[in-house]
Amino acid sequence: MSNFQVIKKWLISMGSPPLFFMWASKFLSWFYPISFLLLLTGLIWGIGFAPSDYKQGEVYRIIFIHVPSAMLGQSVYLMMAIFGSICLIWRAKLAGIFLRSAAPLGASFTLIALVSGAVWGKPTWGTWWVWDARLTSTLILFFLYAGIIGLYSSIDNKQKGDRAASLISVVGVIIIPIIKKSVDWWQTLHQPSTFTITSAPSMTSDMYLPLLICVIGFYSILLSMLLNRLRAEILIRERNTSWVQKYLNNQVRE
Amino acid sequence: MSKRSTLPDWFMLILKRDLSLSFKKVATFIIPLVFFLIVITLFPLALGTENSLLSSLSSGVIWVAALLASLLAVESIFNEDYRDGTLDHLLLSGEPIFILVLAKVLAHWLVTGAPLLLASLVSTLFLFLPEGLLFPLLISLLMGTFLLSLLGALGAALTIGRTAILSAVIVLPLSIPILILGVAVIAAALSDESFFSYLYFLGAMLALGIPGLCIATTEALFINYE
Amino acid sequence: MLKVENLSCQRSNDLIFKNLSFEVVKGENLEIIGSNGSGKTSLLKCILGLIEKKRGQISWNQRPLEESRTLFLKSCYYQGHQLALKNNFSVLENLKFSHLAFNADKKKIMSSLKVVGMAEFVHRSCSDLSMGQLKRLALAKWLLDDHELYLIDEPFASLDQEGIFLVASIIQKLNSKGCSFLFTSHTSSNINSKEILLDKYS
Repeated sequence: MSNFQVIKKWLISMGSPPLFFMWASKFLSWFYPISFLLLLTGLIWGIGFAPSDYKQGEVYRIIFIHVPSAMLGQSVYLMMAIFGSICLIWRAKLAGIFLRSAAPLGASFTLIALVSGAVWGKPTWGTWWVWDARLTSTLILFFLYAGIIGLYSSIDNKQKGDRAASLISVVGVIIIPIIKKSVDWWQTLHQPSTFTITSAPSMTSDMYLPLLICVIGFYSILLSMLLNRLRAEILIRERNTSWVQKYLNNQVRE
Repeated sequence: MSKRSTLPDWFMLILKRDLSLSFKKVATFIIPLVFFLIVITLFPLALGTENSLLSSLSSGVIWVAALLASLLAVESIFNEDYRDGTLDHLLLSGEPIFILVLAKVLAHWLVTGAPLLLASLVSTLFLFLPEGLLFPLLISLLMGTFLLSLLGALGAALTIGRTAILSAVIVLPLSIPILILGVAVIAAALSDESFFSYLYFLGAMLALGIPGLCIATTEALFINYE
Repeated sequence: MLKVENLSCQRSNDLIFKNLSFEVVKGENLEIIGSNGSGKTSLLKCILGLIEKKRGQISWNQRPLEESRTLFLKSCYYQGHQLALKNNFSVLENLKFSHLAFNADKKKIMSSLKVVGMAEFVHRSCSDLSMGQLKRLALAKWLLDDHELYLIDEPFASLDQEGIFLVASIIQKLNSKGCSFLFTSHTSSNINSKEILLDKYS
């Protein structure tokens, strides 16, 4: 078989819960520790050992948490929209379950970005919060996540909840650029001195490298947590099937 | 079937039906209007009655009150039909549901949005809206409340039978651009700029929003049957 | 007319029924008999496209249902457990504002009401009607337009003798005009129809 056919076959097999579960379990057994190590390396290097910034001093180190969290918050929403459309168009079960697994993670990272942004702002500019465009957009993103989580948790029928959450995330991802543009523009109206509280200092490679490792670490840990949450949700959904019963029996026996 | 039903027939049928239903219950006109006025009243009560303060806040407060009133009022657009089985009946009629949604939103907006515009006139007195801003306020509200009703209908379709506050949480972040644009129209008029460019933006959002949101609402209605 | 082959349907990971096959022929009725939870309502919803089928083929007039859904929906009539009547409307308004009234003028509406014995209540508000009267009004909707296939969920549920007789006579009248009925019930009714026991397919 050609390479393309192999990949296609693998993708289709990934749509089946038991096969995906087995693959994810095996993958996570070695990937989870690696992602944890990556994250730890990046954070310790950045917070502990990177040189201090000449303008912001030591405070800028929060960037190693703030920037990756913000990136993750946005990436997760984009992924939710992609898998949401897969769920709506092709009715793929796993795509729907993805939304339930990803939404709380995305919300948490957005929250971390907001809090770290506030922590950054206090010593640097004297206030815990400022209505700049980036922070405001991040706050709105958090509200969007909250809405999606509220929606699917209020629906008893899980498949229906998945589809409803998929629809609203697809609609959201289309409206998000409009929100960002209007918030950017709104900020120019009300704050002519456009500085962003979270503007990154100009960085040397000494600072850039640990930041890169942090970003990779964050994404890896996101992937690990996502896959783990997916595994858990699959077990819950398929709890009445034979393969789950067998798996659980094996776990108990070990 | 001796006569094929046409699209305008279907649209007018739903429009007339929903308008007749609304006219039988006077509350549908009055409650959103009074809610709007109560919200407006809360601001002087909370912030004090200093003319200049209220005047500077007026356009924003009126817009926020209109936003909340529109979104909360549109909750009931599908709930009752769902409860008595009429929604099933309509969804299974074989007629285009996209048109059904548009007609229902239009009927709803005529009943709640129009009184809201009248109420906003009263609120300009309560909040001492500066001279010459009345026209931009009304026209921005006219376009904005329809867009908000459309968005609210999407939220209502997703949360049929559940609380209104959930629908509000889902839809309010998405309506922030409409709020920003709507207030921008008035702010531009205040600084004597031409506010028509912002109206064009609102118009563009309407042009994209009407088909897009109606399609999304149709999908949301069918999701309820899983 | 309506042909179902090897239909399987599931509800939250459990198969409710599988490999169900039947055909509804013009002018004839089909009765689906099953106990509570056997999937009678789900079967109807599956045929109507509200629920996704797990496996199988449904065809309408020799064409797969997926292609001709709009035509199918326009030629059939569905009544579920709810009566789909608005309490705030009068009897006349309920019929007038139904999409079934596209082809029905005032005369047709009045004659439908006469058949079910509701003609004298034509301007009465539905909130003033009894349950039995409301059920008869729902019956009047059957007669507003010509439908090839009627999908009725438990037409005889909680009806008295008179009501059962009325429904049966209307079904018979519509059969003679070439309409078919696919309806569900708990036990075998006395209607001239083929019967399918849904419990056998679970």
